[in-house]
Amino acid sequence: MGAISLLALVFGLVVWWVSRKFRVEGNPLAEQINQILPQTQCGQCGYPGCKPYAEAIAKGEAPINQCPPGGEEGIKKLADLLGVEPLPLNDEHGQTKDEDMVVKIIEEDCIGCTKCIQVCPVDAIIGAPKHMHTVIAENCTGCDLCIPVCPVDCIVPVPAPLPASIQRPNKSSLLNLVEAAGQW
Amino acid sequence: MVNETISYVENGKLCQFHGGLILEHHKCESMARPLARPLLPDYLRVSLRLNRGNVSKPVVDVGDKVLKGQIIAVPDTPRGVYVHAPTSGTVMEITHRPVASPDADLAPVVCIRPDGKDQWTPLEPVEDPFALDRPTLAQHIRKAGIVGMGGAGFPTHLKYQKPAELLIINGAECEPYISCDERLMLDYPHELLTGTRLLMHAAGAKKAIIALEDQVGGVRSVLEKIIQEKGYTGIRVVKVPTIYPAGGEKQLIKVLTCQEVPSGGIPMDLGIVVQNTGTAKAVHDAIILGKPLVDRIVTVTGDVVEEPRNFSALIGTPFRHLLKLANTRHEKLHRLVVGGPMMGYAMPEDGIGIDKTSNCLLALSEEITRHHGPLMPCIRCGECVNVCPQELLPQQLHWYIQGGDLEMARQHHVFDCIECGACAWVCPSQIKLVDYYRYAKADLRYLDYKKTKAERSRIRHERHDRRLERLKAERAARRKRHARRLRDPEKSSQVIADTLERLKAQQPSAAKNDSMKTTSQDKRQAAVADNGSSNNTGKDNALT
Repeated sequence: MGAISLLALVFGLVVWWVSRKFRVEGNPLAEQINQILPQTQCGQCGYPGCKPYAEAIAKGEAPINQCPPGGEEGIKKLADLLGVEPLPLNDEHGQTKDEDMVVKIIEEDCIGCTKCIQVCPVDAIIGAPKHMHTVIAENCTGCDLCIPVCPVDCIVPVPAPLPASIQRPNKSSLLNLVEAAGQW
Repeated sequence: MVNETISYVENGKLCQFHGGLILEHHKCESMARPLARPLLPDYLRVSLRLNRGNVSKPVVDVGDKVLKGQIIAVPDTPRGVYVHAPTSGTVMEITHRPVASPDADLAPVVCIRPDGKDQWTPLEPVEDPFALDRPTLAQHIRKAGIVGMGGAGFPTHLKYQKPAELLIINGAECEPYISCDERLMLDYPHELLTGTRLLMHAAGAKKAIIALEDQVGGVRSVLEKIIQEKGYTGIRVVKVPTIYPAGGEKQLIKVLTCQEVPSGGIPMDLGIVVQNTGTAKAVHDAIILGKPLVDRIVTVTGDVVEEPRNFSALIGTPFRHLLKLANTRHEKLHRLVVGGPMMGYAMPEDGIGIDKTSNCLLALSEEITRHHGPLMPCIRCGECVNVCPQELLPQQLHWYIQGGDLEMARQHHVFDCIECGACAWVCPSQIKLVDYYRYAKADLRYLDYKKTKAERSRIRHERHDRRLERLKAERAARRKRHARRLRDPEKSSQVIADTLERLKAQQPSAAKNDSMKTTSQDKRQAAVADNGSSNNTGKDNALT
């Protein structure tokens, strides 16, 4: 009896030490979910950024189908990670865009009100009060948060620039091949 | 590892790579005629883009007169190379046109109308190149616009950033029909050997191997005779078995040195530099003669070409021009391919200009173009595994890509595929396997780019949030400090006196202001002024 108690005490101490030693700060699940989310920071999910949404999913407070920029692919990855069934994207939060977009400021029309600078979640707009603003296209996530706040409607979405060495391949041509093989 | 490589080379034994195909040669047709220098075409269309990526920036304008060899575009990254005018004439237009790249997509091109004089700019040969240090020589190579001329178009100067032990000059043209390297080795052996010695110097390599296929006759004796006469040391000529794709960089290294380039690695990881014969000659022309890369040897052949032969054509010469000179029966032309029948790509029109990498123009009739019968499902026969020279599992990759599991394709080394097409050639179900791998590679590159962009956005967003937090905390602290000062009667009277004095000082300028401002605006400006951070706006509309 004494020996068993001693063992229990020893193991208890080991478990306590391990839990102290290998303690992980923050919520590792939320981190993993955040890695999958597209980091657009658009708020379409109803949370003020990708991280809060990731935390809400990790706590089980939010469904996984509220992220339009992530699209079906993103939902599938989240479902794989969480071990749940993939859901169709919830239309209330918006549609997935066919093409990657960023925004551009029509510079002749800009009055320099700084409103877009204040709402940009990734500091991708530069400018000063009463001076023309411009978007750093490679940092823009295409969240479109700046479009509604512009008082003169001078911000327009444009296709995202890609580095010259990267080309998005055409999936439909490959799918045709697959389909043809399937028909046979 | 390097010592091992060298000792292997010294022994002169050869290895074998996995798989491969034995194909019909079809090279004699074009080798039967001597090299021809075509007349100047009506226009030249010079692409400003390397095969993948970097675009050089044009430095000429429409209407400018250019001389042969004049720089017409400069690179804006260290990876890019210069582009030169292939002949003297007038710049007709600078625009986007299809180019001789795999999908013939649009790229910036400079169109030049030749003036017929073919007049060179003053040439600047490099004096005593063997006395130069390696980086300077590499810079001269870059200035001459030299890229790998075997097909991939990798900028040559980038291969000489680190010293290497062994230089391999790749004259093993393994694809059927193409004979431009054989022609070059027969017609320009002196230039080839000098170029080889220059490249050895640029690489700091003591040894060089010129590799030929064993079906090529006559070249080896010519080269060896010159080597002996001139007493060049360290250069050997080696014949390798004619198995497709023995001319692939990694396969050739395997055959010659019995070493494998590591997955995802480059030959430099083994201390080896591989260079095409055409590149070696271009280096000779650039350094010894001072001529930049403005022409190359192109094989024009195929079953609808009456007089197949090799042309020493200017870069940018339209396909149409060469096909006409080789007497092509246009009515029977079904498919025009740039490159060989295995790895080449079909072109949508014949007005496109040849690129620095275009080694062959293949004009084929409908009969000979391989019929892709009905696509059938993969039956897992494993033929593709047997022939894959990179020892991949083509059918497994095919399944992963078809199922959309690109990450698994990556784990199965889809990036090590050299797109030689051997798997698709033997596939009994006629599956265009290479298309799958090209798609997977392009999509994975795109997804990786998206991922790095997302990561950057995440970091920027976190910094943005932290900054807002910090500003909020600073504002709160300032407010607290201010409130504390006002609570102290002595200090508060001082603060009030200071503020009044400041307002008084501002009075004259403020009087000029119109009094149409709304109260709320005035209040805000006052607040700005009060904070002591009076910027332009604050001064302009100060309190009335």
